[in-house]
Amino acid sequence: MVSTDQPPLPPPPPPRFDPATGLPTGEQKAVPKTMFFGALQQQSVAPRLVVIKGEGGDGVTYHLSGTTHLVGRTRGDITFAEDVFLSHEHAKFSAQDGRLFVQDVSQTNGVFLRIKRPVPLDDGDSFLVGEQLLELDSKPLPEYAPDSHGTYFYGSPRTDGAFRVIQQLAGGGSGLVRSATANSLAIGREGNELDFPDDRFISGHHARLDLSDDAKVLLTDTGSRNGTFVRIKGAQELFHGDYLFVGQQLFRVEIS
Amino acid sequence: MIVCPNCGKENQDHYKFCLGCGAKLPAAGQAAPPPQPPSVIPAPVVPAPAQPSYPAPAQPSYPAPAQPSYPAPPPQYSAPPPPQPPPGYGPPPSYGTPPSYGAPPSPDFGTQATQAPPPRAQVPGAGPAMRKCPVCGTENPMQFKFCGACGGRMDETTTVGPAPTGPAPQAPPPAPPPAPQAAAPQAPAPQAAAPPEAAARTMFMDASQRPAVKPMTSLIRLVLLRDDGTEGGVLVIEGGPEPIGRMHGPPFDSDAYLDPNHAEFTATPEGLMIDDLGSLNGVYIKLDGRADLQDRDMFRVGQELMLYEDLPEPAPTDEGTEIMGSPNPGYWGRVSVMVSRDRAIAAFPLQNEGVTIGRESGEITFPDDGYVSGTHCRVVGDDTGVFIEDLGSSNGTYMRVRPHQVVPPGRLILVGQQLFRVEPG
Repeated sequence: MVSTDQPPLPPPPPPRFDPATGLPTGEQKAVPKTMFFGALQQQSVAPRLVVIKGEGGDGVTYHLSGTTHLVGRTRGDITFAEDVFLSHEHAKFSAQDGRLFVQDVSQTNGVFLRIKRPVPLDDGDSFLVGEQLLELDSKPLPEYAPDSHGTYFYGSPRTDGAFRVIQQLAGGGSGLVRSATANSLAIGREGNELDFPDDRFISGHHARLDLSDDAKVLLTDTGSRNGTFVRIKGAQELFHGDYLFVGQQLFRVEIS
Repeated sequence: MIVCPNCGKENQDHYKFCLGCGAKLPAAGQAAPPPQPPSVIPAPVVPAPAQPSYPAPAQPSYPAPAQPSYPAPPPQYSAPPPPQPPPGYGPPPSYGTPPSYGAPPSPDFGTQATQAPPPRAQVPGAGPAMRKCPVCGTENPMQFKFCGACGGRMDETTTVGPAPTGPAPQAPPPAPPPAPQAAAPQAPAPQAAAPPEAAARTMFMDASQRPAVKPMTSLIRLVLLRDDGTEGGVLVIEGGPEPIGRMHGPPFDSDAYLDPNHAEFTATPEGLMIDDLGSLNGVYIKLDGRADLQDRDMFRVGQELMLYEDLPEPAPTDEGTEIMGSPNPGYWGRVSVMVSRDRAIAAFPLQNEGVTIGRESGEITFPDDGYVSGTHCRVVGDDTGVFIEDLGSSNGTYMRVRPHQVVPPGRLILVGQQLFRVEPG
């Protein structure tokens, strides 16, 4: 837990301009950006979550000096009351022997980690490309065979796509479904098999999916500007420079 | 491959006509799958499993149990006396040539043929199996309930054949008398005598007689339409509900896309009521212009099977958390391309006024499906609802019938692989 002598709320940021003169107060600049959990001036520097984008204000740093820290909308050590995409208790960070782990304890939206190298995905795994939440459907299509009554399904001709991607819409419900072209599917804003021309957060060629030899589907970021994030399963170890989406909050992980 | 007997060109197994010269192709002697199954499917897979799984049921089902199970109006299948080889739903010759469907060689037809003279033998040597139409005198096969030339009832005045089977023929006699009697006060006897006779002969043409018949038993004729557009046999639904499916005899017993118990057909004064018994593939009605679409309606465009779904209203979860996801620019529904009951290989969300579906143009295209027209149909939504509209496609757009849907006369229905026109009896 965060040490008990921690102030319950960060102090309101002091004025950055002198009310009398209107001149910048100068000195104050760096101060509001850093809030300290746990004791100040700790000996060993605790892992930190730096808010890149979100409710806490860009650049705000949360020091994870205890062994576990709960992030949620209403409960926990770090709360974001305005983030409606957060569960009451959403993510649990735990530090052990200088290593940091995160666990998804949310009921709904999960925790997403930016990928740094190709990641194998299983059927049903979700990932974020720009603002798009996509789910992998890699379960094999049913065999073309009669059912228990000996009846064949009179369905559409099949494509040769080895897997499919399902768009999950905000508020619930599924949007588009797109099959891979043979064993791969490129995703981006334009010139890919799957394009989202209206999504400003997607790069031209953003990410791609490829069937790998072991029948898994490999997700690769193809040099996107904003990154590609996968929803974590179980406890996930974090490393310096990792980026995490927790609700609408985007954190950078700093471990020194 | 089918080698065209006319010009020698090689054609794919499911082709009905030669791509080179247009001549009718023999059905691939080897088991050619119907045109619909995906081309990736190995051809022989269809007939093989179908055979062992339902070898017997088709046979006992119609000669023996049919009679006891329908005491009042005996089903059409049982109408002809045993000597008549195939069930009397219509002229058997058309079913005697299964190749026209490109269907696999039917085990059921095969076995029937060994027990009874092959149906097709009856066409040329029609001698014993013909009788004259009482209305116009044209010779018709015995099994015809209606004259092929004039449409008159074959068993109207002929006492032989299936006359005693249906209550319908007996209904007219009581009907004519009231009509002339009503007219009697003003009209002299001779004039009154004429109408009844005319009425008896042309009963179903005479509008005044129809109400008298209908309350008894409604009659619906299902006219088979072959792939080349010609008419095949006629399946008569008298009253009902009459079970339809692979275990209920021809013409459905060899169709692997039908469940053993597929649907129930009931003749009503308004048309054919179809009760899909939760079957895998349902029964489809050809769209006539425009129809409303409801959540989870299925429809066919060319070879594609599509599902329409309303988009659920956004609802927060129990804990009050909103569901994260891709921005929704105002989608109100989506259509999916289905390859099984619950698996889609493509889906397209719908926004604004909707989408157009075609082979070449539209928001949803199927460039590889030759059965889809360039611009085929569209799915549109407005304040009054969601609709599907055929845009003059060559092959039409078909909608799966909903429970208890009544198909009015004149419409086409797709039962398994076979197309029928619904006609009043």
